[in-house]
Amino acid sequence: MSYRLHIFQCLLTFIISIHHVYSLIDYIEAKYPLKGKPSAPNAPWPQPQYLNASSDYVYIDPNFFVIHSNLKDCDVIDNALQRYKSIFFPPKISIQNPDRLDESRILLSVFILIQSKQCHTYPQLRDDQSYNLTIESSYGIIYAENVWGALNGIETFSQLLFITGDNYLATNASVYIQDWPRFPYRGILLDTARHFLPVPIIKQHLDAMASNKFNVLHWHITDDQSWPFVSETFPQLTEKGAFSSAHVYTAENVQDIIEHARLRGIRTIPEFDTPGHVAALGRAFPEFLTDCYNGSIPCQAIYGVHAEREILDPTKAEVYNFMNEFLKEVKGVFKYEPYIHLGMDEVYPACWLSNPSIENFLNENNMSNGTDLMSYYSSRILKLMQSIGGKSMVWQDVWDDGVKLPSDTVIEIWKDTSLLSDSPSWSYYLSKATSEGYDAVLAAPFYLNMIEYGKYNTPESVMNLEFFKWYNIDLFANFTGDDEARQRLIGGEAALWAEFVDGTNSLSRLWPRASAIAERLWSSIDVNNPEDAQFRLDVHRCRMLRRGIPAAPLLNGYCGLYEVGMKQSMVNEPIFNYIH
Amino acid sequence: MRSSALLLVLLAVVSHSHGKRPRDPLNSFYVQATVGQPWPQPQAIHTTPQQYGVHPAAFHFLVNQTSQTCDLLTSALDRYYKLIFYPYSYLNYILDPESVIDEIKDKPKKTLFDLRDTPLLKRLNVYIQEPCEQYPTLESDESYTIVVTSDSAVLEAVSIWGAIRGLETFSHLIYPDDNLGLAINQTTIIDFPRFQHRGLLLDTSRHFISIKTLKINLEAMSNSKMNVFHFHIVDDQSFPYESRSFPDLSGAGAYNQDHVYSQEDIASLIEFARQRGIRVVVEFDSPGHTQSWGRVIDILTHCYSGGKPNNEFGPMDPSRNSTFNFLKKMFSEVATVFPDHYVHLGGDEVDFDCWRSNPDVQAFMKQMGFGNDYSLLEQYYMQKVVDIVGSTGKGYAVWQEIIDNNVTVKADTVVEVWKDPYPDELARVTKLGYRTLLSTCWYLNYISYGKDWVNYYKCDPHNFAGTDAQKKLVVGGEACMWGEFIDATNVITTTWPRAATVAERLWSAANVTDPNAATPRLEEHRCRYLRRGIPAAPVNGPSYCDFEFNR
Repeated sequence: MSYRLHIFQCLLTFIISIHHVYSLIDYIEAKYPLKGKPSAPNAPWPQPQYLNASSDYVYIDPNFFVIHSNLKDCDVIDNALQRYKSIFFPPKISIQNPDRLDESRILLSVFILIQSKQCHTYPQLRDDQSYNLTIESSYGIIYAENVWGALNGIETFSQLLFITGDNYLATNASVYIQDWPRFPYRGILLDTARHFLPVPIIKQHLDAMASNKFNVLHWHITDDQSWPFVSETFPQLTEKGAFSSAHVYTAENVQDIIEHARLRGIRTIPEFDTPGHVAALGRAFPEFLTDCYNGSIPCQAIYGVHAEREILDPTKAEVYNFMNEFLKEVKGVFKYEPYIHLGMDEVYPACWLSNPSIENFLNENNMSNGTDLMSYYSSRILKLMQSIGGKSMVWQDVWDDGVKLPSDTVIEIWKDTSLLSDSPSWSYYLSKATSEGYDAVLAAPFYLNMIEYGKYNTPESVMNLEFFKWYNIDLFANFTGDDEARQRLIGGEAALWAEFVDGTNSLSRLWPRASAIAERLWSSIDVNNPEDAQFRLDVHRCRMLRRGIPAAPLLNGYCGLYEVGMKQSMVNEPIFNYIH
Repeated sequence: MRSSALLLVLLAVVSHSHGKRPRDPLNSFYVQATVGQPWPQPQAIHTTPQQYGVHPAAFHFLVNQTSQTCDLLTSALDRYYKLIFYPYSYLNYILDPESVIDEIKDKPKKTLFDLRDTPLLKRLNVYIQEPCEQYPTLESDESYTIVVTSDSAVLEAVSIWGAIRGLETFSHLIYPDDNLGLAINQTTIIDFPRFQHRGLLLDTSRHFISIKTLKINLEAMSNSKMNVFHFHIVDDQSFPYESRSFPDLSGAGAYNQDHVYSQEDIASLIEFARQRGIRVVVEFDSPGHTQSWGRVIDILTHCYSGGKPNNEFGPMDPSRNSTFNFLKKMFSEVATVFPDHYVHLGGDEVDFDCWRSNPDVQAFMKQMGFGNDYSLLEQYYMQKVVDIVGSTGKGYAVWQEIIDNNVTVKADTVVEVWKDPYPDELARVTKLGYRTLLSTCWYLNYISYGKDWVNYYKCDPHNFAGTDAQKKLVVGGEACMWGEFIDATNVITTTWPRAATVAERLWSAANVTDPNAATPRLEEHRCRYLRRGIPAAPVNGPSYCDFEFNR
């Protein structure tokens, strides 16, 4: 097979008759006509790197369509082919059978060719994720180096299918796609400590992530508020640290989530944040926390300075014994994933420094301040991670403090001048961290919990900036690192901190808002026109609705028959819903 | 009350993610809900620690003679029995009465044998003084009293509407209890609303909202004692109302023929609302906001550019008699379909540019002697419309522009203020002697990060300089959920429980204003919504409910 290489901006050349566009979605913007190019009903999201498609189309007969691969008995592929059936052929929409006599107008099969012939178990950071997809009249081929690229190809293929006004399933007769991600790490952070997220909702997030080619679930599983992760070694963590015995993730739940993610090519990186953000841990192990002093009186809060007791006491041996045992367990639970996120953010040393025995410890060990103590703690924990064969991911704070990190540590950047006025910009941090040889991930501009009402950019064009304010954030803006450093800027992460989010609203809050970030992390930097993108994104949000994800509206209009609350809604369809 | 006292916050540190909020050691880690406290806060409530168990096999409602013939009461008692004892199955039941009780989730936590040594509340006697009315009105009496002092409690009300409000409160007083399964405390309540009109607007034109979702919203309203559903049914974007006289309106103006409200749908929605003492005030906004009306029927102004029609359309065309003939027929239909005395006529945000461009309109202006003052044309149009609607026997509600433009309206007109600064606007409209509604500060579609309900809670419709007589003219307010970025995926979670805070402002005494005091009660109320199957979102920061929403 020979593929022409095009690294220029892809050309979107779908032109499908207006009749069919109308059948799926209709934009009625009476007062303020929207700028931008209306989308084909099957425009993929995120935009492929190179895409060329003919304007005529072929039909698919649900009863005579075959999709198969050269890898036999590979769970990742077998499961995907099973799973995508209900995406290709949505259960509540009765699809017409096309005229079988006109064979040239029917797509009969898609063949998935996996070059490595290996059935990988779990995706790794620098795995090849690229694929090529071609459709020529009756036949399609998805070509990928490995199963992860193949999953991306299947996802794109599923998006190329659309349902015409008269309920035929169709796609372009000739398609040529060459595609790869701009960044290898495309993450979503879910916080299950501020509010509990039921397992079925997490699985639906994973489904939505797969529909947007996100490939990392950063599971911020514990925090001050609650500790829902059930530990076999330390059951008291959830007995005392969870909101209630119902607000926990059992070992079985956790495996269920890891497996659901893995089969979609998504890594699950758990975060167990220490030495701060540990109040829930402290409910199980009060002796691990530092007593804060007001003068000579222990356990006294000082308004604005410290609480009565907070953050782990790094001078206590039992803290390290606990961390050793616990991290070993975690490593075993998340057995395929090399990284554990250790947090290490937002440590306020005031409490440490108020405590006389810590003061003695500092003196005895030639330390002069809280930063020294933080270095002492974090170095030990990072070493401990290495000794159990794990790699670490951390929030940038510990690196800001000048702690020497193992060279394979991933640093997550969350600080920016816009958040903390005395902080440099995130681009400064990215350049610095990657130039020092660390892999870095950007989260700073992508806090999706910070909602605002959609604002219009100009009176003439009613773009909802709420959906696109992250769209043109170039991770390489003002980047000063060299080419090697560029390679170490591995991607970004959309964070949905959960102070005001739970099972009621997390899906409609994150989707399709995170999709704009998905396209930024996957597609070429030249795909940067939000006025055009809003139409494609609207098509994509309707697609998510059809897959049972209650993604919120961004344009006025409607999405076929399967909107939430209507008879054909897929939201409660068992196949897209994981409540048993 | 909640016997297994949760390990409360030992420490006082901040709940924050990444430096977004200042460090505030007085914040606890998560919000603690109250137990068995009603929302909105009753005018007077007295409770004692004395608990009674409540068990489905040992509890029933009793009614007096007047009440026995009241179908609204019979159905309300049936509903509240299920709501109290089978909350998890309740929503399915009201949406589909054939559905079955979820026996696992709704199984009583205690048997009568477990409760053999516990004082039980065995009955609620419901007394209504007046015969049952069929539909609630702006003048309905919603007051009630509840006394729970022995195994037999009493709910007294003047009207069926007060009884329904009282039953809602009664259902809030009963709470899940570790020892008793369900419990209620010895309680006395005297209650009545501060304002008569406690409304919620949903917009079904920017995005369609299914009847099922509208019913869930009505249920949520009744849980917070809101009593007016302002049905902003049509607008520029779409016309989902299926008219008997003009089926083409929705035929061409709806998004598609699955995105319509049939006459049957409307009737079932009105009935659903009536059962809960909720008025349905429909809004047919004109002359602006009417693009979707004009796709087939030629009633809109043709806009001109360069001396020729440019295929664009403006507001209704007041220069043609046919426009008013159409409106006569349309509003006489609306008058029969919607039983409430009031129809909302909109009248807001009229754009004069298209009128200005049209030669026929220009000629008409000349003929009428309006000069170049297009607000006179607007006034002319609205005058005709209010007269048309008035002649059907209906009263009307209007957005404030009508009054701003000096249209003469009937004395019982309700004027809705939506502009800022609202204290000035309220003072002005009430000075003219009109009954007034406030919505300016309650546009719930304007979302923002954090505990934004505090701003809604602080906004008071009496917060303006005026005489007592002026204050009396303020009949209430409305929370508005405009639909630009809202549909069934997020309407309930975005509206609730934020609208409940407006409900408390409009129901409870003027001095119930402290958001910190309200927070734990609101938290309980939100968890109550979840228990009842309504996905009210978290609004107070980190927290949990015993029963989390899972679809």
